[in-house]
Amino acid sequence: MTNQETEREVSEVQSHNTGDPKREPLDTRVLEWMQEEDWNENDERFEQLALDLFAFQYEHCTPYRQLCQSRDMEPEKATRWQDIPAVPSTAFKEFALRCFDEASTRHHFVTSGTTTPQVGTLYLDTLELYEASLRASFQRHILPDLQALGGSIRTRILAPSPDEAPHSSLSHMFGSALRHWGDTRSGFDIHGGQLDIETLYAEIEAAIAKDIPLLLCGTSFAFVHLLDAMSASSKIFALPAKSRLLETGGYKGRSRQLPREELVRELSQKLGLPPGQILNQYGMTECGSQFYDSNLLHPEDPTCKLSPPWVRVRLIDPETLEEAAPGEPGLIVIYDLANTGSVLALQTADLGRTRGQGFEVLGRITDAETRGCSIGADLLLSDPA
Amino acid sequence: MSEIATTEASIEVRKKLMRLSGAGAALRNRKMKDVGEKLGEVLERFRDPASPQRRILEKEYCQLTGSHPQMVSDAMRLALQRWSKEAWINLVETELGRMSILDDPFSTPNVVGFDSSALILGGCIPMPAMLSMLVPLMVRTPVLVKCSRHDTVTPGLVAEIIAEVDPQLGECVAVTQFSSEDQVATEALLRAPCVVATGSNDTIKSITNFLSPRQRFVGYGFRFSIAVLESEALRTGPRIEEAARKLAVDIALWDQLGCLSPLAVYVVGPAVEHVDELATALGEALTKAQERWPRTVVTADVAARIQEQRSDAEMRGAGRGRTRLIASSGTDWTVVREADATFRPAPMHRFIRIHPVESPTELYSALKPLSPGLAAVAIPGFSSNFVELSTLLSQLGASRLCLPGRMHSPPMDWHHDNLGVLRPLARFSDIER
Repeated sequence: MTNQETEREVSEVQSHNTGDPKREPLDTRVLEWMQEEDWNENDERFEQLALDLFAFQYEHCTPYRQLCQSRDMEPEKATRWQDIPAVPSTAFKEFALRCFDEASTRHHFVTSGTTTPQVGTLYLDTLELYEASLRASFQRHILPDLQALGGSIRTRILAPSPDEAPHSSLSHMFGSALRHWGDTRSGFDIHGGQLDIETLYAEIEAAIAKDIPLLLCGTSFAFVHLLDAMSASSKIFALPAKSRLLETGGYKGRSRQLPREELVRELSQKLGLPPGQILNQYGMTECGSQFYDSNLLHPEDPTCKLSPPWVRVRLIDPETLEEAAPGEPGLIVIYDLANTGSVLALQTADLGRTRGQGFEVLGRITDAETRGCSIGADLLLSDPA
Repeated sequence: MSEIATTEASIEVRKKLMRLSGAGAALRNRKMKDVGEKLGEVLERFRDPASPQRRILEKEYCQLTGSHPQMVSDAMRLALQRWSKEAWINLVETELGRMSILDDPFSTPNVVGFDSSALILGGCIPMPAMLSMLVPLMVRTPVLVKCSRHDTVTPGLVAEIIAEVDPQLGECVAVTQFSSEDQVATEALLRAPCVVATGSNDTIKSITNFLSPRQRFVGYGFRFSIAVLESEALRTGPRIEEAARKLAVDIALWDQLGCLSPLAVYVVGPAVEHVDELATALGEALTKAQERWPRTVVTADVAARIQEQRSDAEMRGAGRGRTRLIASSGTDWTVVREADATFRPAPMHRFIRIHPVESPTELYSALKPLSPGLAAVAIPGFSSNFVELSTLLSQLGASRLCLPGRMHSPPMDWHHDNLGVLRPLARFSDIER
């Protein structure tokens, strides 16, 4: 049995009827949008859906309603989508932010805790919207030439499979991509937490021998492990034309850290991939939609993260909480209609700035760098020294 | 033959260490009393707000860090209040022995220094930088100072004062500055037989990797401080206002970036209503502090960190009650009245959490995991359980208990990191007859 077939068996998406008469029309409207071939930034459509969804979530998600009440913002008062209160991503660590009964939970994803042992959890009663958003965005940004590729691409994934990491949204996403577009020799190359370097080399060499384009997906730290292994064995590949690479997820202290430019340069040199074929994805467990680099879609423009039409991103000046000036750093706040069962407005822990047709992620807010000689208790507790 | 790696900074470091080593011969022949007196004069000069170096320091420090001049001026005045020449002599006599007998060749023990020393500064506060430059000289050890990248002003000015007061002592001090990424220069610096460093745990760990067991090493890690108040002692309005006013000084000075800045206030006892009153009063006091000492403009990531923690507190307050957020309209100051003693991130820059704890036992449990990083504790003298609390806090490793409002004016002989000031750098030679 091939890896791909195994994945089909274990991760087949179960379409789910939420059974909530108020929710279903909303889900249907969002799904319809996600399934449209042409991406149309329809602000009026977004606003109406967002305000309707806000009203639903206000009614059905108690902790969220309490936050809105504390900010004196109720659905009747909201006239623009920007009025909808955003929850901080940290709230997923403290509260079950869901608009359905606990018993209706069909799946949950957990965040990968880095500095604190507490993890955030996204509860889902259906994966339908999650999947629909993922498919539409992934195909558009990573496989814009899917037809020319023959409808599939050989995909090797440097991350654990959904079998090994059932509550990792990243593994789920890669599993879904593999199921939809992977060919018969596609599969996962991390098993038991270890990169199966021999299998990966063999698959890369086989693809090169037959000039079959490869899609390599994985976490940033897994690619650093690959680079280290290649350096140790003086390995260099020249991947077939139309190959591409998608990295995401940061490092989380699991490998040496490379600045993004250096990572791209090393990957490009060692895999024989043009830098423009190396893409980054920005996403988070708490959010149903993801953001991809524009390289393949708009190779002539400066690289930026693009949002699907059912998502809006605000960059908020962290000092004034007003819109950040163009090009200036701002807190990334995401309004994602795919989050029908949780909360659509999410204040992330990341800074970004506007760039081109989208935005650029500047990185996670950390307090690793302080001018003084004081240390926060959180850092002290996360420090093994 | 293996080549010795060089960088521009490493060449400079090697040269300076060699020069200092040469100058050390004359220093070792000097009387301790004489050196102590001269360094006391240096202190007085540094302490004098009208001295040229002090004026330059305050001006350039503000330009470098963006700190408000009034804050720097007031904070330095407060910190140096007790750092007189007399206090310095007392420190020397307490830790090393009476001045009158230190230079007696027949007295025991003999205090001997090292051929040279390297002082690696961290953080951004001028007073500890200044004091740590005087300490090796007092034990007659020349010192090469590597500036903190957050304060490149103080070391050069202190060196200038030393040279003005005593040119020969001035020959025994040199200042350098290079990127911590320059491993070659770092290695060259760490060849000194005595190394003193202040920095994060990561910095201290990486330094120790370069050292041999034969070298003397004194490392001061980054620390945090807290305040502990008893709810019963806050039962009257004036007491709450007084505590809030004094705590606001401790929080606002140096923008809460020093290891003596409190990051959290623990209110011990069952009367939780006082926690709310204190939070309100502290918000008012921090507003006033902001008027006198406007906080330094922060970078976007610091502001974002503050907003993230504010939103988190707001969410917890809305969802569960009891947690309360009181904050300025910008990010100038933040008070979070917490519901319990759970540790939460500290964005600093005038962000304070107030935690209620039922009893000293609960306080002990809450602080125990943090105890390796605990520096000072502000605790009012009117606490009825002062003895119990102070014993408990000392057992947790607090190196200093002081009154609120006094956190940034430690005595010169404060046992920073539970160590002495001069003794860790001295070599003692006992003479038995």
